[in-house]
Amino acid sequence: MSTNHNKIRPVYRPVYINLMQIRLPVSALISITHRLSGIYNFFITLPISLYLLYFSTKSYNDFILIQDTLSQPNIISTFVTFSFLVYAYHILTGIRHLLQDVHIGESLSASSKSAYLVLIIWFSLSFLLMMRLYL
Amino acid sequence: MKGSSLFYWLRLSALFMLGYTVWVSSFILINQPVEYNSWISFTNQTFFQLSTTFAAFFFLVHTFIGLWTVGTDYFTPRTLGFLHPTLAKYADLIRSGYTFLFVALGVLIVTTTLFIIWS
Amino acid sequence: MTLSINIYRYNPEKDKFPYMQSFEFEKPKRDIMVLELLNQLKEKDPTISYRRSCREGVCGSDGMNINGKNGLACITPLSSVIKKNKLDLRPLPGLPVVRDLVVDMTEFYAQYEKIKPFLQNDTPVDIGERLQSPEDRDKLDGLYECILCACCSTSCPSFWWNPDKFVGPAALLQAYRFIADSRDTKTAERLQSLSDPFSVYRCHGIMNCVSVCPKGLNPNEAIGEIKSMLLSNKSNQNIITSDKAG
Repeated sequence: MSTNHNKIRPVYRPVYINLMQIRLPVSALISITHRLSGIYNFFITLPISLYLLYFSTKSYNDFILIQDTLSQPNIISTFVTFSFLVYAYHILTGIRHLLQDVHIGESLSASSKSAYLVLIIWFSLSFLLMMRLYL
Repeated sequence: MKGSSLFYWLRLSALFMLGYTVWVSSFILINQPVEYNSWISFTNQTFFQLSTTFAAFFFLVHTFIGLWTVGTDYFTPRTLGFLHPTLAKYADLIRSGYTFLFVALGVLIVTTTLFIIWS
Repeated sequence: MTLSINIYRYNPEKDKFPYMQSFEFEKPKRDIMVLELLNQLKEKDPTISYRRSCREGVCGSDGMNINGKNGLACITPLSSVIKKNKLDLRPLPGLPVVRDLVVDMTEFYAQYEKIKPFLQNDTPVDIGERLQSPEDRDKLDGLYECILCACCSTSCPSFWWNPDKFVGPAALLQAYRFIADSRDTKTAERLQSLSDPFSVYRCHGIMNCVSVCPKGLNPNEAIGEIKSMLLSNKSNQNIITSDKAG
């Protein structure tokens, strides 16, 4: 009904969007965390990587300092490992995205299966890296 | 701006950076613990310098498209208006500020990378 | 067994802000649909407002958010949605609320209109109808069944943020329904009008649409097909010839 477009409407009408109440299936969670991890990578992981690249190639002593710090379990190595894990998360969810672009895994069941698969892979990777650091 | 171009460049840059990441990570993981000399010779090779330069360029393309999309989703009069009505008035200004921030940071990152690689 | 039913209430003439109203409801011996529950509650409180018509899931009037998930009240059994004896009924998310569970569908319909949801074919017809083979007709399965209930588009975060620019899963499914129709000749023009960064490309594969569709349709798949066609059109620029209207 195109007449609806011209109807005068009240200035204020509430809109219902409560993310805590609206049910979000696993694919939706993967999507939003993919976005958040991308933002984190841009502001944190990338600058860290540049820092590491610069100092690891600057001098032998700088290289050894970095290598020692990152192989011991401490605040810095944990933070750096976590940041690279966020990068890995973005890559894993990104690959899932690329596969859906070529029409692999577009059905509802395939989509949630691939979502859980990505989460399992990522949590396993996180567990392995953190174990390697701390044990 | 054609939508299909943005779609294409986002994926192309992603694929290049994926390949680059796998390549560099493989070197680091296979050569554990990494020796200083082998790391220097790896990063000094022209192929590494060129790849990293391309990676920096694709990083800019990928992140600019992504962050612009985020900005036009959340920093709009409608979306910010859901949080608070006064925010809606300044939405375009906030989005401009956000855009300036990530563009400036992106350019800084790439310039720094080129400096590190080529000097 | 008493159920606690919470309904989103908002009367623009009386209320400044929306609120949730609680009702106690004796759990029925046989399973009923959410619409039947609403009808019984309306007998207790006649001011509760909601849209409904066919009561069999074909008109799309009674789309609402039932315990967090969009669906049609008339075909949603109580047993399938009740959680810990609680039921929350809220309007479809993202669209302005007119009153209680009734939302303003204008933006949703505007996007549907935008994609020109009618067959476009200027060639003359010999026989009195445009013939279509069974194989070509099969291509419309999973596309034509949409009842425009808006459950999908109102579950899509991209549609929440830009309902005026992103066309939304429902309208995109219909856009593809006409692109895929062998009798439609304006495919190039349809794709051209969808080629900007917002109409199609705000879809990031969140897949809420597929998860809530009461007819079991998959807008995500259709959108994927549109994206593929737009991409192959990009490399064949000379195909887009006609109107510049975007």
